Order: sequence, then C-alpha cells, then structure tokens
Amino acid sequence: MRAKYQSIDFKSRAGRILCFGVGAMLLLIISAVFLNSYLEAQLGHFKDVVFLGLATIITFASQWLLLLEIQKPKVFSFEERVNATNEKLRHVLNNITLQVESVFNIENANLSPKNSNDALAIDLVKCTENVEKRVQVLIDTLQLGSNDELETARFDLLPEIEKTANAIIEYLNASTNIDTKLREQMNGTQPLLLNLQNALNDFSGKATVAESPLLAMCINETSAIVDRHVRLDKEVIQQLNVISHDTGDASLQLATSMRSLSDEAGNLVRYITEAVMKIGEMDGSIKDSVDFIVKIGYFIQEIPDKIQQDIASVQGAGSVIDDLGYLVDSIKEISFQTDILAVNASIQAAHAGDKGLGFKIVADEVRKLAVNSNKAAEMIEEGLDAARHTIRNGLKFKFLDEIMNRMNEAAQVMDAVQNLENAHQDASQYYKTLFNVINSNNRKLAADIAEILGSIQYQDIVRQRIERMQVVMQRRNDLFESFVTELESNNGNLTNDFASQINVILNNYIEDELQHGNSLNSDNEEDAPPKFELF
Amino acid sequence: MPKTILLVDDSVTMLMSVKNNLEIAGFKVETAEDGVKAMAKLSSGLKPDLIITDINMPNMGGIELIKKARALPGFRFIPILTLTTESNQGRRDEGKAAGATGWLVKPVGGVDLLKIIKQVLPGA
Repeated sequence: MRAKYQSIDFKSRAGRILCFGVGAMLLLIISAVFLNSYLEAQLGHFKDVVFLGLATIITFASQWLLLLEIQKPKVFSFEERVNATNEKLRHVLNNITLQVESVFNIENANLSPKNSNDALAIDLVKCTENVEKRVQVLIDTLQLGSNDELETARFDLLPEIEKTANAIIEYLNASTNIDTKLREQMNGTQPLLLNLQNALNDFSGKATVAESPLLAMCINETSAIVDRHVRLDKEVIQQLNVISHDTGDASLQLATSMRSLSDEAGNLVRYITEAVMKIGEMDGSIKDSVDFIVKIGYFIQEIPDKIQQDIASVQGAGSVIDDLGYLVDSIKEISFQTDILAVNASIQAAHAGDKGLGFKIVADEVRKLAVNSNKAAEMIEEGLDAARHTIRNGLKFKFLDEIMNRMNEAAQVMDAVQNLENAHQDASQYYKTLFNVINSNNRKLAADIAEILGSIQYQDIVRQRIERMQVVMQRRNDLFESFVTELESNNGNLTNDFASQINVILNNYIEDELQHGNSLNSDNEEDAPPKFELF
Repeated sequence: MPKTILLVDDSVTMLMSVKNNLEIAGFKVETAEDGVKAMAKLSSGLKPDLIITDINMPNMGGIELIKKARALPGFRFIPILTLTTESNQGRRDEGKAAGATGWLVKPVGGVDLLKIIKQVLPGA
C-alpha cells in the first residue's frame, strides 16, 4: 500500500494525505467485512466487542501511518516556505504575546492554558497506553491456539474486553476534554488579545523612562528621526525655493526674449511693408521712365526722315549759293566795266584841263567804287565758296548706313526697355507674394509667441504649488516637533491625538489642491469648472 | 488710441508674461503688484479700459480690489476679469458677487486671452 502510494506522483502534500486516508479507509472497510464474518462464526455474542477493539487498533494504525506521512520530510516550494515562515512568525508572535502577558501579569487573563493542557495531555497519554495494553491483551487472547483454549479463555477475555472498552472510553473522554479546553481557549483568545492591546496602550502611561530603558530608547530614536526628518524637509524646502527662483528668472528671461523676438519680427514686417510701398512708388517712376524712353525711341526712329529733310534743305542751300555765285560774277563784271569807264572819264577830264578837274574827281571816286565793289564781290565769292565747301563736306558722311545702325540700336533699346519693364513687374509681384507669405508667417509667429507667453504662467502655478507644499510641510513638521516634545516631556504619555491632527493636515492639503484645477494633465477636466467664464 | 489695461498680480512672471502678450497685441498695459498699489493708481486718475487681477495677493486680494474699484466713481461698468489659479465654484461666486465680469483660470493661452478681451472690450 505504501509502495503504491509512493508511486503516485502527487504534487501537494494534502493530496497525498487524502490519498493515504482514503486507502486506509478502504482497508478498514474491507478488513471490517472479513473480520465481521470471521468473528460471527468464531465468537458469536462477543464478536461485536472484539470487532470494536480491532477497529480501534486499525484506526490507531492508520493514524500512526498518517502521522508518519505528515512528518515525512519533503522539498518545499517557495510559497510553502513563505507560508512556513509566516507560520513560524505567528508562532513567534504568539510566544511574544505570552511573554508580554507574563510581563504585565494581566489580572483578567485568569486562564492557565499551559497547565490545563499539560494535565489533559498526560491524561490522554495514560489513556492511550492503557488502551494499547488492553488491546494487546485482547489480541493475545484472540491468538489462542485450539478451540479448547478458546473456550477456556472466553471467560478471561470478557473482562479484558470490558477493560479495553473502558480504556477507549477514557481515551475518548480525555480527547473530548482536550477539544473542549482548546475551544474554550480559542474563544478566550480574543478578549485576551484585547486585554493585551489595552495593556500595551496603557504601557506608555504606566511605564516611565526611568523604569523602561526600552521606552527611553524608543523616544530618543523617535526624536532623532523626527529631527532628521525636519532637517531633510528644510533642505527640500530650500531646494524648492531655489527651483521657484530659478524658474522665475528663466521665465522672465523667456518672456523678455519672446518680446524681443516679437519686436524683431514686427520690425521685419515693417521693413518689408515699407519696401513693398517703395516698390509701389517705384512702379510709377519706372513706368514714367519707360514711357519717356519709349518716346525717345520713337523720336530716334523719326530722326532719319528729319535728316533726309535736312539734307534736302542743305542741298537747296547749295543751289542758292551757286545762284549767288552767278550774281557775284555779274557784280565783278559790272565793277570791271565801271573801272574802265572811270579810267576813260579821267582821261577825258585831263583833256578838258581845268574845266575837267571836277569831272576827274568824280571819275576817280567812281573808279574807287568799282574797285571796292570788286573786292566786295570777291569777298562774297570767297564766303560762298566756303559755304559751298562746308555743305559739300557735310554731305560727304555715310548718312544712310549710320542712320540704319542707329535705327537698329534704337530698336534694341526699345526691346531692352520692354524686358526691363517685364522684369520689374515680375520682381514687384514676387515681392508682394513674399510679403504676403512673411506676413502670414509673422501672424503665426505672433500667435506662437502669445502661447509661449501664456505657458510661462505655469511658472507661477508651480511656484504657488511649491508654496502650498511648503506650508503643509511646515505644519506637519510643527506637529512632529510637538509630538516629540510631548513624548519627551511626558515620558511617552501622549495626550494629543497626533494621528488625527496629521490627518486633518492631509485632508486640508488635498482639499486645497482640489481648489486649484490648473494642471496640464488633469484627469477630470470634464467634471472641472470651465477655465473661462464670463458672468 | 490703444486701449489701456491695468494688470494686477503679485507674480513678476505673470506680469511679464501677460504684459508682453497684451503689448504685442497693441494694448497699453499698466501693472500693479497687489490690490493696494492698484487702488493707488486708480485713485490717482488712471482710468483703464479693462482690469485683469489675480485673486490671492498680499496686502489686498483680488476680491477686495474688485469691490473697492467698483465703488470708485466711473468704474461701475469697466470690465474686470480675474486671472487666478483657483477654480472652485465658491470663489467664482465670491468674485461674481464682488462685481467681476469674468473668471479666468491660469494658465490662459495668449490667443485665448486676447479673444476673451475682445469679447469684453468690443472694438479692441
């Protein structure tokens, strides 16, 4: 049976115990059936008593095997080790509880579980030994060899069975007593623990530092912890102040930079606006210039015709000069004939003697006039020759070729002017588009800057949170210091409910924080009041 | 002629942040660090088109400032907005009873703030 049990791979101890128990139960039932038949045939009226005795023996045997199984060493899992450790801890705590009970000598705890348990256990052991003896005697009696001996022993067996039954009853009574006492003790545990709690609560009130070094040590340790705690908080508060100050400075710098950025962007837009306005003004000026240049172009195109007209006029002047040359020749001819006439008149005046003196004078003057007329005619002729020469030289240029070249150049100037005007229009349109884009970007930039400036407000929110934190930490530290003071001055006897007071501080802090719903990551935005409300 | 706004807050950061935002938007901004200084400016002749005030300030808080400003001649209909970290309904009711025009909870984005100001200052 045991080998069979061992072959079964049960992981849990409870499963193995259950299996073992079921097997024992089956064995008991089978044995009981066979034994019942056997004793019916052999003993008749005594079979019930014998059967009861054997059943008891088998029960003991199965219990013994069960205990062996329970005590069998096994490999514990981690969870089982934890449970075992917990059980040990509970055991240790129970021992501590008992020790504390003994220390405080609680009057109400009038139970003496240890003594009563010992007495009952001794009784139980005695009963068990008695039962075992009686059962052994009974077994020996049942193992008698012949029927005769059985017959003779029948009278001896009866008292033995009766004694065995009494021993079993005694054993059962002892077990019942133990069970009852255990139940009573368990029922008494709760008031016992309550008494213990009350005693511990009264501990600080009854014990003094002088009487309890442990208490003094606890107070000193508590005082030191609170002191370090307060100092730590002061350090933290100092750092929080630094954070508040630094973030404030950074925020101001950021606000200043944002303002500067906005101003620069505004200046840029103003410059561009002015540039666009100037481009508009330049548009008119350039258009006027282009119109003027176009007029000049047209004028240049008209120049060849005018030159042709001028050439014709000059050529006309040459004809006039030639005509004048003929007139000069006529004048010179007239002057010559006048000179001849004057000479002849002088000769005739000389022949007339004194009477011809007056005539001679006239003839001499006429001759002078003829000479002067001839000189004037020559001078006119020289002037006309010079004019003719000038006109001829002037007409020697290759006017037509040069005029054609100038006309081509004028046409190119017109194209260049047109290109210039087109380029100007493109540039003007480009700058207008650029201006619109920059203006649009500037509006976005202004909006972004406004949002950044809005976000800087979080520094103020953080500062206020830090301030509220500092206030609550200070209140808590004040309470801690009062706690330590009272602990030290009253030898551990506390009159104030510090736990309630610190709970009040906590609740006030939580409630105060709820009044300020301005977190970026607030979870209950839907339930919170609106951020903007116009009354 | 730019509209004038009196900004009251004990936080320099807040003053700088909101002041720059409003000035960029074209407003003229006067500042005060608490209710007492704000009242001194109002009493000395400053007539802003809008007052924006914090609630929790030293010396004189926002609620008291609103009450005292409303008592001044010519300030009955001037819009007064609060800009505070407090958001609970009880404080809002206090502000409303004191004469506040609206309640803004910090932080207010720059664009949102300008939109709200345009609501209470038509033509701004």
